Amino acid sequence: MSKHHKHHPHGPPHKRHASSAVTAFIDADALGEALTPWLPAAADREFVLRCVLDEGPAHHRGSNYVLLSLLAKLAQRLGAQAVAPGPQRTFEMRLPPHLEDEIDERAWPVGVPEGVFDVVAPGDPRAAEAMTDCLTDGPPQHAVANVLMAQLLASLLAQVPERP
Amino acid sequence: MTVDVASIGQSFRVAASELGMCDAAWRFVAEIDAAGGPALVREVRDAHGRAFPVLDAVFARHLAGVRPAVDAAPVAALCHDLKRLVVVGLEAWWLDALVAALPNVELGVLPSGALPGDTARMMSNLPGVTQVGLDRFQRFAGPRSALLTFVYGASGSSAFVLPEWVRAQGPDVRAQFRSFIGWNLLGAPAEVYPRWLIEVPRDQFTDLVDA
Repeated sequence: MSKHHKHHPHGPPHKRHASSAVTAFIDADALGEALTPWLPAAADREFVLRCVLDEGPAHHRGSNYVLLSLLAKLAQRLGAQAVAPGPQRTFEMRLPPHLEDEIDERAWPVGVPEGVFDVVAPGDPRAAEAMTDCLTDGPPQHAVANVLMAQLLASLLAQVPERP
Repeated sequence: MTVDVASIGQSFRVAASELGMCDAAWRFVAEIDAAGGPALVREVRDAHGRAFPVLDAVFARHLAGVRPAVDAAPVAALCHDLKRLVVVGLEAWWLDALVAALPNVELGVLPSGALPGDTARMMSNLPGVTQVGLDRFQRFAGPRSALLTFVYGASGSSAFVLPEWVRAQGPDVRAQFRSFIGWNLLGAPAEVYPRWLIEVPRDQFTDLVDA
């Protein structure tokens, strides 16, 4: 057995909490209120929050809550309480491929802020395309949370002056 | 009027396949009560209630003095800003009321295969409403779309629904529709084994409305 597989002498390497404990700390109302600047319509907010906090595995729901809450708190402290200026890319739902062309309203009520990609890879539109694809692909509880976090980060970046 | 109690099951099955189990049960109990009073209602319930739990529940409610409530307003209030709505299952009284209450919502109906009826005839009574199957109902998906089904009794943790609902609100679909609405036509769960129906967790509905 390699040393990486040895158990720590004082207990298991990873204690797994019950699912109820993992999600007991989730306060959807509090997070919803904090995200209102990015999702002003109540019905949209409830839909998006259900997807990131109520759907999918418990550890994802809990993680989404922790990270979004921290970003929202930071945004509140820095006064970043509005969608960042700049273009937004449409963020489309994952739908059955055989029906995609028949659905005319398929965008999530939150878009992808293009400005964040220029921070990571300045002046590289191909990289921006690839990064958009990474953020928006996969199960909705991941992709929607990714885009929400990108929104909060874009708003935060807009508040923080660039340093030489 | 003479009532052949034994043949009512077959008649009910045909009626329920095109009107819905709850709709047909209320119509049957009214006719049976008119023909033979509460004694005949009890006799028919005793003969056919176990085969048709929705009939059993409706007849019990009728004997307790309850009469059908068809008020679409609470459901319509949940749907007021929707663009599209898919109704899983068909209960003619309630569906007619919902269609009238939502003139600006594109409606689809996904009939149940549990009691298959003449869908062409059923849909001819619902002008402007599209029939969809499990292969195409997601054409109605979107951020201003909802799925609704009729619930045949609910407890604190469970609700009883048609089998198609189990697929229609599957994990892939839950992020494609904004709301998952249950319209509870029977109050409490059936007293007999709920054949034709599936027990699902109550919390899979974003809204559960009592009729």
